[in-house]
Amino acid sequence: MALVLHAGKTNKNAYKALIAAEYSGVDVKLAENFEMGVTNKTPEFLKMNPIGKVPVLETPDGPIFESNAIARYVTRLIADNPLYGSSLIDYWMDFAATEIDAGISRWLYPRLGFQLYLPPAEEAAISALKRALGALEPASCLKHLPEFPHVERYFWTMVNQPNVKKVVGEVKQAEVVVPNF
Amino acid sequence: MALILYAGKTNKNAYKTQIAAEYSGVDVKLAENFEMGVTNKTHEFLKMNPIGKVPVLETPEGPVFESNAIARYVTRLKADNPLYGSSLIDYARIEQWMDFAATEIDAGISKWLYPRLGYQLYLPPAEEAAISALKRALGALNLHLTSNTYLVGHSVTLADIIMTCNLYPGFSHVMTKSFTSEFPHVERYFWTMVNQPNVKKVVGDVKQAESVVPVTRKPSQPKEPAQSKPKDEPKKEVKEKELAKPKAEPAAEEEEAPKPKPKNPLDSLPPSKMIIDDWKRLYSNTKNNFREVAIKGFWEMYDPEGYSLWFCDYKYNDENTVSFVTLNKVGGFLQRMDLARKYAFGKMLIIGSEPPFKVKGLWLFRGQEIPQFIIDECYDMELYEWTKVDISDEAQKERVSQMIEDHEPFEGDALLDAKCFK
Repeated sequence: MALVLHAGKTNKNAYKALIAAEYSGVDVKLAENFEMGVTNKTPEFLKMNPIGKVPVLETPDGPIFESNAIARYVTRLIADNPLYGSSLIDYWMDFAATEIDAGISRWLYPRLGFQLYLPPAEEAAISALKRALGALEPASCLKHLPEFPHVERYFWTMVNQPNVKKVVGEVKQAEVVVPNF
Repeated sequence: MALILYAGKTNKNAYKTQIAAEYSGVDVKLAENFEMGVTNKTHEFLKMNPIGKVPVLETPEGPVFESNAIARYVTRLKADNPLYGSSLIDYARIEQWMDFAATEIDAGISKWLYPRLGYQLYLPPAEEAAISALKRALGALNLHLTSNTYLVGHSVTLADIIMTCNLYPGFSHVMTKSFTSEFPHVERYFWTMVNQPNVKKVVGDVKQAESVVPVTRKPSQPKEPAQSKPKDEPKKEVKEKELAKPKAEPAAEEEEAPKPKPKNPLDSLPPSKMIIDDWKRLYSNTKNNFREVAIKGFWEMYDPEGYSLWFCDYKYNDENTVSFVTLNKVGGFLQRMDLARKYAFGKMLIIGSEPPFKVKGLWLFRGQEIPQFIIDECYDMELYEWTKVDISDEAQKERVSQMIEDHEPFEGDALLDAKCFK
């Protein structure tokens, strides 16, 4: 029986579980007719996740929320899953959350009108993000023009993996920064 | 043998690991003489964690950073550790609440507290948004704890340790009784947790804030206005910072606290008759007869007491096999030298018409040594051999002149490019 994932169709936090499921051969389906801002406000949904955020995974043992926790659960469903081969994985996952996602969110979401847009806060977010991206680069030079060449190479390699592409589709790099909402 | 944890003594993110270690019977010791803002800026430390944040755990298999990852690692050292539950679903829920503690609770408290402590830009509307997001998160947590003593199952798990540590700076600095009374189950939970013997042993006595910690610093521009700042301002900030210190200390967080800019020691050197900006202007404005005007002018201006000249020579020239990569490397170096603009001038030559290209440079620095802050902040420095120029040696002096004027051929080779830092 497929596990049901509650989230919109193009939610990057849902992608995490969906991609892990592709790699692991676990059957995960998006909930039908999920509507962001509506479905997740219902009492049924709030019973699954009291803060009303997506994604939420329904499992035979009950619901799980927080996207990384869901992805971990899906991954662990397969014994000795090579996706979980090293203890280093935990800290890169945390780095992705606390440094990369936090920086990008604080830059992007205010522009999309999801959060308050404050130019100095945006500037601070961008500079924290640059610091984080810089830490992904090896400590040698080669950091200029493009500034994060290894991150670029890594990202394009990843989004072209068949299991990733199947979930995410074609990815195009922004030509301009999304304008302020 | 004890695992060594690098962090200050009262860091809530280090507490996570220390408490998990207490519960798990794992021997973890804090690194001795760790000094926040100093130890974590050293090359050794950056090798362990490239972003330079604490805590970092040294293990026999190498360093682990990110506080939750460290706590997980320590927890896993004990086989079938009950801190990690006993089933896959327990495990997933523990992870879920750990993530919730990070993305909802910690993020909310940090965005409220750190700007007030002066670690981040303080913006009242941003604070308001942070508080309202935090309230939403605490509301959800409160609801869950209405029918659960602990986050997952019936005993303390790693999720409770992480949650408690993340709530701790909130309770001790900003979340006063009148704020938390809206969330009675969170209150009950927090006080239960901090009174667990294993938690108390690490954290000590916890007291709830009686008032929200005051803003320690006026809103300022996020871009470091180091160059244009009026001179007396940094001093004032230091004072304010010191006043706030007793309160600020316990919250030394993963976010390394950007201390108010101390005065650059180079500013306290005896004044020099050489005005570096005058030289830079002369360099930029000389279009013709460079040797007679700019070079001659340089040697007239040069003050060997207030400044020193240095040759640098890239240590790994045989790796410079691709022209644009080599140019980018030098460009990146100059970009990273931005912090030294007030105190330095540099020329970098990329030499040769065929790979491998040689990279050699000339730098003028304020003072008699390569300024320590440049060595600390710009990792490119160690990729070069540095030799102080002896200007009593005419040959060296001539080499300086040639480097400033992009003399071609340089030491018998054509120049691929020459870049200037001014």
